[in-house]
Amino acid sequence: MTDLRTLLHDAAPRPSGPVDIDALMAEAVRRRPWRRIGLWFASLVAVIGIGGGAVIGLAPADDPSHIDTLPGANTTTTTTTVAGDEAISASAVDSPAMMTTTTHVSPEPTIAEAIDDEPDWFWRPPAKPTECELTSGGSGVSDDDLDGGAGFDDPNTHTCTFTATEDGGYRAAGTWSLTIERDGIHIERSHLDRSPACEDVGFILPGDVVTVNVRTPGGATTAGTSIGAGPSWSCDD
Amino acid sequence: MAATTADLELAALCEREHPVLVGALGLYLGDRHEAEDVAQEALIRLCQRWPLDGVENPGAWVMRVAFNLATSRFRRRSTHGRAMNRLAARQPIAEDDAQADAIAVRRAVLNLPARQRQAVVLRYFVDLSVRETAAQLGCPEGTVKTLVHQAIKSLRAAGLEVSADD
Repeated sequence: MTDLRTLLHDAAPRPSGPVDIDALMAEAVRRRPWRRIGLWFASLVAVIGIGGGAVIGLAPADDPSHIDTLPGANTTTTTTTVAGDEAISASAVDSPAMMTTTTHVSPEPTIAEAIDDEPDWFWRPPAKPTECELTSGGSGVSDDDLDGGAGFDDPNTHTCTFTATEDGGYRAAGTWSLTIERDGIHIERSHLDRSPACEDVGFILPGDVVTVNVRTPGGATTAGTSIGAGPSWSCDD
Repeated sequence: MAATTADLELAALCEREHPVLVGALGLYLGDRHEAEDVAQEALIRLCQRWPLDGVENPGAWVMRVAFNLATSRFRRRSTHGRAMNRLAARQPIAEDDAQADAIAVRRAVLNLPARQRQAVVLRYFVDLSVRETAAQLGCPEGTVKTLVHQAIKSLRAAGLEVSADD
C-alpha cells in the first residue's frame, strides 16, 4: 500500500520553468479597465477629428475577435470583420456620395460590456525558442542545436537535429521529412508532395533524437518542447 | 521604479503558488501544458486584483480561481478527450517503472468524476484539511469525506494500492 499523498506528488507534473512574474504583472496592468475606457475616448476624439464619413474600428491588439466600433455623427458604415458573426447590411449614410459597404459587423458593445468582457482565451507568455524551426527559402532558420557540419549539405535542403529533454511535439507542413530515434526504434515521417497542402502533427518524448529536414520551397517544420504534444495525425492517413 | 512591499509580497506568493497550481491542475486536467495555461491565467487575475482586501488566504483564493477556470475550460474545450488521447499515445513508451506508475496514477485520477478528482487533489496533493477542501468546493465537510471515500474506492478498483488517512 502506498500513501495517496506520495503517489500524487510523484505523479503530478512539474512546471516547465519558473513563473515570469514581470510578464504576469505586465499583462495584469494591460487588462485594467481604465485602459479600455481610454481607448473609447481616443476613438471618440478620432471620429470628431476626421469629421464625418470616417470609418473607425478599434480592437485591442491582443484580441482580434473583439472589435469596438464607435459610429461617428455623420457616418454609419463600419468595416469590422469578426469571424463567425452574421453579416449585417450597413445603413444609408447622410452623404449620398459616401460609398456604403456591407460587411460582417459585430453588435455595438456598451462601455460596461467592454470593461467586463474577459477574453475567451488564456494568456500565454512569449513563446520560448524551439529547438528546431526551419522554414523554406533558407530564411528564418533558427536552431539551438544545429548538428555541426550536417546543416546544409544540399542548398535546397535544410536540416536540424536535437535531443529532446522534455515532452514536446512537432508540426510540419509543405515538403519535409522527420526522423525520430526512440529507444532503438527508428520512426520516419515525410511529406514530399507539395499538393495537397497538409499539416502533420505529432508528439516528442524525452530522449528522442529528432532530425527534421525541409526542402525549398514549401517546407516549414517546427519541433521542440514549446510545441504542445497532441494526438498524432498524418497527411497520409 | 522601486518595488513596493505589496509588489514583493505578490511576487513571493506567485512564486510559491505556481508549482502547486501546476501540479494540482495537471492532475485535474491530465495535461501539463493546459495546467500551465490555467495557472498563469489564475495568477494574472490575482495580480489584477492585488491586494485582495478582506481575503485572509490569498493562496486559497487563487487556487479556487484556478479550479473554476479549469472546470470551465474542461467543459468547453473537451480537454478530457485530448488529455486521454495523449496519455494513450504515451502509454507504451514509459522509460522506467517510475514513469509507468506516474502515467497509471494520472490516468486513474483523470478517470474520476470531476468533483471526486478535485476533492482528492485538494486533500492529498495540495494537502488541505477537510474544512479547507469543503470551502474550496463550496460544499459541506461530510460531502468532502464522501467524495474522497468514493474516489479512493475507484482508484483501488483501477489497480492502485493506495492508503489514505482522513
